[in-house]
Amino acid sequence: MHLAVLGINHKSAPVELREKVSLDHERCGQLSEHLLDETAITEVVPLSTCNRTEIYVVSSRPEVGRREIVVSLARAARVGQSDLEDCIYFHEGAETVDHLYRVVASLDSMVMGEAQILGQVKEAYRTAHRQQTTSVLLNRLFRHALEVGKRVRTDTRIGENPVSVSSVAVDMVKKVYDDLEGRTAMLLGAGTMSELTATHLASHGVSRFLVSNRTLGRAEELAEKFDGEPVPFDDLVTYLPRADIVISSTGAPHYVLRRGEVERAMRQRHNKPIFFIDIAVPRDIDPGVNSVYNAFLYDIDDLNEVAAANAAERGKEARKAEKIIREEVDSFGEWVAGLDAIPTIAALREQAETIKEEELGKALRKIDSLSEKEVNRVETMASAIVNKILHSPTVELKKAANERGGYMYVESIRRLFGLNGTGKGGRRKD
Amino acid sequence: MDPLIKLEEILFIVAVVSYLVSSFLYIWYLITRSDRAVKLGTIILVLGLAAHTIALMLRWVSSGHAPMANLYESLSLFGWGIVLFFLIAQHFYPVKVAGSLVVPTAFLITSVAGVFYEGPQPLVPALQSYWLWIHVTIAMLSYGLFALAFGAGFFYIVQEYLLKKQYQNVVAAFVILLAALGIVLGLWAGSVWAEPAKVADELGRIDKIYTGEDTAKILGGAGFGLLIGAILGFVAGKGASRPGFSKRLPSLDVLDEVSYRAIAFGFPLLTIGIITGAIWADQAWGRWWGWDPKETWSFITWLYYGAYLHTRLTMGWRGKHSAILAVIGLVAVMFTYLGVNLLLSGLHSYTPT
Repeated sequence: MHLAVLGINHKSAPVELREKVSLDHERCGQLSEHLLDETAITEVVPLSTCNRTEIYVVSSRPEVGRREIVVSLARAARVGQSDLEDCIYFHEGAETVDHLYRVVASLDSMVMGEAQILGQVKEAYRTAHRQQTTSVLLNRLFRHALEVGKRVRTDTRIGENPVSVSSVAVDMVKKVYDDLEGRTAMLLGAGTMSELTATHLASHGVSRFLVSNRTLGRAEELAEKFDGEPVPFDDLVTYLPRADIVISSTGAPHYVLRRGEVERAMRQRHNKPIFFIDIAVPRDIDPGVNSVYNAFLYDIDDLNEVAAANAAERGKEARKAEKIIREEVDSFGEWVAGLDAIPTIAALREQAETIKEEELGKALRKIDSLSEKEVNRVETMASAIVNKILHSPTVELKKAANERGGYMYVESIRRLFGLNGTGKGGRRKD
Repeated sequence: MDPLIKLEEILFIVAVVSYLVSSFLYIWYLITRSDRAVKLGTIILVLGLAAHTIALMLRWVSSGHAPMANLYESLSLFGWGIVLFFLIAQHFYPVKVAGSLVVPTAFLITSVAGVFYEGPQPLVPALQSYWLWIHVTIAMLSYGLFALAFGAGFFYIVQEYLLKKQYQNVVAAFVILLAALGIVLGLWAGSVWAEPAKVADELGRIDKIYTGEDTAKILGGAGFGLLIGAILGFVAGKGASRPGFSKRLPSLDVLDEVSYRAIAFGFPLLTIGIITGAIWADQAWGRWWGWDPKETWSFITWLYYGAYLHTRLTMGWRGKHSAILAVIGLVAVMFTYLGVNLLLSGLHSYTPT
């Protein structure tokens, strides 16, 4: 059996092609069926997300693979084969394992450390499993991969430091207010960035929103979305003392909030902190506000700077993740090696020989009246029993090694005789 | 030499060395967030605490009283208490990062105890009373809480400067802290080095007589400590001055709350400590209050933290102003605990007569 993966992702293909090749459940199913019916491929898991489409396969013949999968994928996605050829990557053997582990650990993602990919891989595997397009090898590979993904998330901090501006902003706010539950946020200007940040804040517990915009209509619209309160733009200073967090993104050419106004608001709210997030260019909030007691001001450059520092941190964590992946690829390789018939036969015979020697020794120690000739006779008998019992399994295993799906026999023998962990087989290098 | 005392000494040294190694591992954890470092640091800290515990018990047995009677015993016990509380806290709360401050503090206090090492001695008959451990334990608990309030307050100030991106101020905060610490340690080291002549009066009060040379040694020690502290502070401050470092520290909310609560508990304890001290003084010396330096300074400390609580509760202070008060307060605490004994003469001098 030969593992391989063929795929396209954000690094190998432009978005126009990725869109077309992105397959829904139904088309994934059709693709799998086609591959299983028409080729020497015995197991398939298609994985399709918005940034990647990958087909993991197990084939019974080494030369079957790349071409057949390209043909099927081109057909399923209704794109030209030649268009696809230029934008795909193809890995075989241990590289397939390495690739899948990197994908599931989010090292191959557009935003390294993102959490969705783990769920997407899980979903793809479940679907394939339900449609019975997987068997021993891919079952084991994907279950192991999901564990690797979890291990990378718990053993490294790859997902901890946010790298997008809106989540960095929320992160910083949480360094002032430990708990955002029940806090009030004020949105100045109703752009998409402030909306995104507001969504993040709402998911962290911010419950009251004050929305102010030059055109009151848009303010009312956004306020409704967050179950908030529209505030007339000219009155925003009156409402400022109620805000714990202010997000500003108006198109105004001059400062919308000045230091004096913030100082007055701070006095009215008895110096409880206010966190100002100014994502507008040109800036909306007087930079002097940052030096007001208990006022904290972050503009877009500040947030980008933190995001860059966090990205560097993720890079460090990625190196830890790489190490984990190397270990796990090796451990999977060992398992695969154990599936080879020859080391299994050797292990089986070795186990039988050990038992024979032990039992012979025990028996002969108890009977001391036997002559040397008689001892030899007993030993020959014991060997004959072992050989006769093992003859048929040995022959069958050798045969199975060259058959489609034969490793299922190997796996059964290993399990029934308790040989796992004792195999001496070297690592498979293919 | 009595083998028990020898064993106590060895175990004490094991504890000090363990705390030092553990300090580096916790600081390493703060910088690199290596889980292995913090695990190893915790194990070594636990081993150090075990050795320290046995050392204190041996001291209790060989001296016949709770190990609180001289400066060595008192500081050693204080360091032990800090490690114990920290390990318990770390078991239940995510405070590993605080270890990078707490464990070195425990190391510092314990090693200073070593500087003032004295063998076990019986207590003066007048002081042989259960009030020893009641009064001293309560007083030390309150000192410990004020020290916690100080730590949280200091990190509040650092965190606020970090969040305001005022990185020069972060550096300044570290320089001032470590320079001040350097001065204090330098004063200690200087006064140990100077060895002023001691004269006891008829009441058992000890007077230290400083010559010009002694004073020069003490001032020299302070100056040297200032220099080293300022350099270390500059390095530490520069290390912390970068965007993203703020997430290694707790939020302002939490730091403010910890600092305030520590004082809210520490203040009544100090009150009880002063009251029990008065009761004991009445029994031992026949008067409740005599404006002994220790008494005077504990009263000043009490007034100071009373003022802190007043600004907070009736004037609505919070945040950086409160944090600054909590930081400065430790000066009064340190003076009450140690300065009085080392620099002034009086009945609380930890030195048996």
